[in-house]
Order: sequence, then C-alpha cells, then structure tokens
Amino acid sequence: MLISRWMHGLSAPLTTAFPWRTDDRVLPPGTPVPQVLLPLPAGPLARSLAIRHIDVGSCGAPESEIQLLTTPPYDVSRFGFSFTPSPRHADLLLVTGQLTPAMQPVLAETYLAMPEPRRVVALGVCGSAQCPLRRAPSAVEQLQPIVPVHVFVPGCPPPPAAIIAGLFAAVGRCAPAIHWEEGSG
Amino acid sequence: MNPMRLPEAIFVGPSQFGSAVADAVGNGRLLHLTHIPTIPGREDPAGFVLALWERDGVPQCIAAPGRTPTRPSQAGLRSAPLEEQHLEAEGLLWAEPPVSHAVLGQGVFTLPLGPVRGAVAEAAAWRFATMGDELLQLEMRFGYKRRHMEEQLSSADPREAPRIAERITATSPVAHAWAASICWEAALGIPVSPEASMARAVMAELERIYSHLGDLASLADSTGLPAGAAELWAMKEEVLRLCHRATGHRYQRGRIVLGGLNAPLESVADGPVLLRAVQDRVHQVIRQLDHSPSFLDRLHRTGRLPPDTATWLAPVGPVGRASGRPYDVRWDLPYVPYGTALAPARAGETAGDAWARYRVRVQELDAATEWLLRHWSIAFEADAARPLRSGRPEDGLWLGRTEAPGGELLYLLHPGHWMRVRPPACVHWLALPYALAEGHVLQDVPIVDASFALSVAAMDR
Repeated sequence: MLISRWMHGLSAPLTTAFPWRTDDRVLPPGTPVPQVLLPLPAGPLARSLAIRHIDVGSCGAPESEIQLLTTPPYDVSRFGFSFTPSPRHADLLLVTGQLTPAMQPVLAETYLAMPEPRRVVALGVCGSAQCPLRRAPSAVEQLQPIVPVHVFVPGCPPPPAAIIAGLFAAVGRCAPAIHWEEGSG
Repeated sequence: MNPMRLPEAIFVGPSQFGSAVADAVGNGRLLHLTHIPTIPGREDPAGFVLALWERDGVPQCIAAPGRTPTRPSQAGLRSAPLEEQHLEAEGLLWAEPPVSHAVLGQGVFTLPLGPVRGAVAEAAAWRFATMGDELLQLEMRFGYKRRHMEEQLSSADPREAPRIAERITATSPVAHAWAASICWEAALGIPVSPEASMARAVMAELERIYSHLGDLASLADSTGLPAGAAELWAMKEEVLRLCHRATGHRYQRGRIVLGGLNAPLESVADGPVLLRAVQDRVHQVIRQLDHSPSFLDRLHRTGRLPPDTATWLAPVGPVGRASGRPYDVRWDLPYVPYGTALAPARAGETAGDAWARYRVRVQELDAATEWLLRHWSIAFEADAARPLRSGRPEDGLWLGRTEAPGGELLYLLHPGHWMRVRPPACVHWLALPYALAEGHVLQDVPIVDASFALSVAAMDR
C-alpha cells in the first residue's frame, strides 16, 4: 500500500539520460576529464563492479556527490555499479580527500583486503595548485606510494557525472559523451 | 552586532573558571562554552576553555587554561575526552583496544566500527559496547582525517582565508567563508555593501536548503524508506544545480571574498519557479512521511537529548531548537536584514528527540524557501567587491558568527596570531552519546546519527 502511494506521486522519470546525452546542468562546461594514470589490471571486470569508498581526509563534498550517484538523477546501479560495505567484496577503491598520516595504514589495509584484480580511483584536486589548501605533494601524488591510482578524477569536488565517467574509465568502458572532451579543452 | 570586537579576554585560573562562568550566566546570557585546543608550539599545553556571553548587548569573554568540562556519564554511556581521542588517532593506534574506557564483563560485546564504515561515510571510528542489542557505551574517535585547518587559517593571507574556510566542511561552505570574512573585514576595516550582504544571505539560504534536504533524505533512508529518500535526494540535486547556475559552483565555493563577492551572481530568472517546484514536491514527500507509521514509530522518543544535557552542552541550530533552545544567529544577532520571515522556524520544538529535529528541519526548509522567494531578485544587484588594498589589521579579538545549516558557527580571530573555528558539529558530537543513553539499541544508531546529521570534517580536532 505504501509503495502504491509512493508510485502514485511519481510523474516523470528523474533520471538523466547520461551518459548518452549530457547537458550543461549535468556536466557543466569546463569540467576536467578523468585521467587514466596506470594501465588497468587484466581481469574480467566490465559490466559489474562493487565499489568500496574510503575517505582519507576530505571536506565531505566528494562524499555528498558520491551519495548522489545512487539516487534517481544518476542511478549508477543501471550501469552495474554498486557500493559495498566490505572491502573484501570490492573490485574498486574510491578514494576521496587529502591523505592524513592517521589514514595511511588504514588505506593500505583496506586496499590489501580487496581481492584481485583491484582498481583504485582517486577523486579531487586537494593539495594541488588549484586548491587553496596547498600542501605539496597533492592528494593523488600522496596516494601513489601506498596504492596504485589507476584513474584520477579532478575537481573540487568532481560532479557526479564526472565520477561516473571515472568509473567507466576504470573498467575500460568507453568514455561517455564524446563532445565533452572536445569542449573542455 | 556582528561583526564585533571582543574586549580583551579575562584570563582566569582553572579553579576560578566555573564560578566566573556561573557569575557571568547569572548576569547575562551564555552564548558559548567552547574548548579551543592549542596550536602546537604555544605555551599552554592543554588549550583553553572559552566562555562567551552577553551583558546588555555587549559581548564578554572569559578564558581559562584547561579542558572542556566533562560530566559524569549517564547510564554508562560517555565519550572519551576529545584530546585523548585525537592523540590516539594521530598516533596511528586504530587497531588498538580502548585504553581507559572499556566496559568489561560477561556478555559484553564490543563492536568496533570505522574508520572505514558504512557504504559511503566520512572517516571516524566508533566503538560500541553492547549487551545483547542494548547499547552500554559509545566511544567516538576523531582525528583520522584531521587536516589542521585552523593552523592553515592562522598562517594564511587574509585574502585566502575564505577559500580555506569554505573547505572545512561541505555541509556549509558559504557559512564558513562568510564567518571568516566577517572576522577579517572587521579587523581590516573593510566595508561590505548591503547588497553584497544580501547576496551572501541568498547563497547561505540556498546552502541551508540543499543541506536540510540531504539530511532529511538520510533520515528517511535510515528508517528504511528509500522511496522518500530518493525523492529528497533528487530535490537536493536540483538545488545543487541551481547553486551552480547562480554561483558557478555546486557548493558555491570561490565567490565570497573580503568586502563582498568577487563577481555578481549570475541572474537565474527561473530560480523562484524551481524553488517553488522543489517546495511543492518536498511538501508531498513530507506529507507521505508523516503518514508512514514505520517512520513515526522509529522517530518518536528516539535519540532524546536529556534536558540537563541540553542545558550544560548548549546545543545550537536545529538540534538546539528541537530541545527548546530557540537561539538563532539570524534572529538574535542579525548580521543581515533577515526580517521576520524566519519566525515560524524559530518557534522550535521541546521534545529533543529525532522527531523534533526532523520537524525543525522541515520548518526551516520552508522558512528558508519563503525567504529566498521574497528576496531572490535582490541577490543579483551586488557588484563585485573592490580589489583589496593591503592594510594592517587592528589588534584585538574579532568574532564572526553566522548561522550554518547545522547551527551557530563561530570564528574567532586574533590577527597575526591565530584563528579559531567552532563549527556546530563540535558541540553536537559531544551530545550524541547522551542522546543514545536512554535504553537505545544498536538499530537506533543510524537513525539518531542521521537526525543529528553531523559532519566529521568539521570536527577537525
């Protein structure tokens, strides 16, 4: 009964047509493109991916954007992505923020708990020249000695659509929205 | 009233602090009792406690070396002193057993949670001692993600201060940048035009709307109502996109500079239409939530903040207003002409439980939307601030206060020496163990957590 009541209130689908058609509201012009930093490990992952998120010192904005990934406007589950509470079930580690000393061993332990083949996606430009919290090296450079970062999604924070593009890049699927790369320069 | 310059703090010894504060409260209104940890390298090793209050509209201040006053535990629940927590975390002791606060006994099970916890959550470690389902003790550890923001603020150029401040927590970048600006503008004598203040207020209310929408969504999600949560999150996304169109950033970063805004806001003509649509949609969802028995059952009398805890801890914002403390910076110390539009949200609740916090957020959401609809066009009249000429800050203690979505946000500046931040979450994290004290079970924890909606990043201690 409750479900029928909820269903009654739904009018039009809220989900964006991303990634096949993007508009400025979903992917603002000038959003930097995700970068593939390392060759992806060989493995059968392409259509299904369990993601473990770890916060190593963020402001909370990337978490807010990641949370929106599972909600109707983005709904990453339609692409086969899901979030898992346990690193032992995870194929991909989604790292946010600038690495603090206290999180270094936690990050290493979380990464080692994941089964192979495992991938790492880092979010955010914290600590780089584009960030007022300048503390060289930048967040992604700090991560490199501890875990191999395969894909880096720039932004402060990267918008949800850019995170999805980063996840696509991490499983070797085509980058969405070809015109995006041309427009962003 | 705000910005304000504080009289020189009265420094007293730890033993006189209690009586000095009691004396002060007897004569005026206590605003804050806050603990400010020391920056390494300073002389007093334990930081100092600061009490601020008002007498005849004049701010007063007492400081004493020492720690936040701790209260005896209630029903065996307590939180370890914060200093110990962050020292432990900085010492990389994440897998160590609790040092001094363990509850031991037959049948007691200790459940460690974090710092990697939940599906998507910020890094903090909780340790529950349970007997069966019942909670015996909650120990919280922060400091895993300590970014030393206060030190970065203290050593930064004034022009950079709003940029750093808005990265303290993503739940309220505008409130942080604004409060930091208030301090420096007062110290440097920079005027801010009324139009620029209104534009900042419009940004702050947009921030309150998306923040409250996200908090209400988390609350619906924690009670197992994903349909309601999904709708509210979709509305949050709508407001974030509106923020991006108006300010060029989804979280409205990079616009507030000393003296106003760095550029006029983009005029978004259909903003009121969008906000009205969001409001109508939210009303529908709230009506449905209010008629879902499983939602009501799990919120009523859950996470009740005991009245005496509310008295000594002095929670602010929605948490305080749900516990019968109507203090609201926008109303009590108006820093922009907010007017009377916020009166309904101020009425507040007194029960202090998760339901009361939910009701307060719903009312505030409505009030903020109504205020925005009334003032939308004013926001776009502000011109860019003039380039800052270099000046010498006037010595003294400068206070900047704004009402962040979570409650009163306090910045304290001593130019050339330090800048201190007291986000609302610093108060409310201390309240959480007490709210969980009265016969709660493990299953209540996500609901109570979501009803407080606290940022870990703000707890940069």
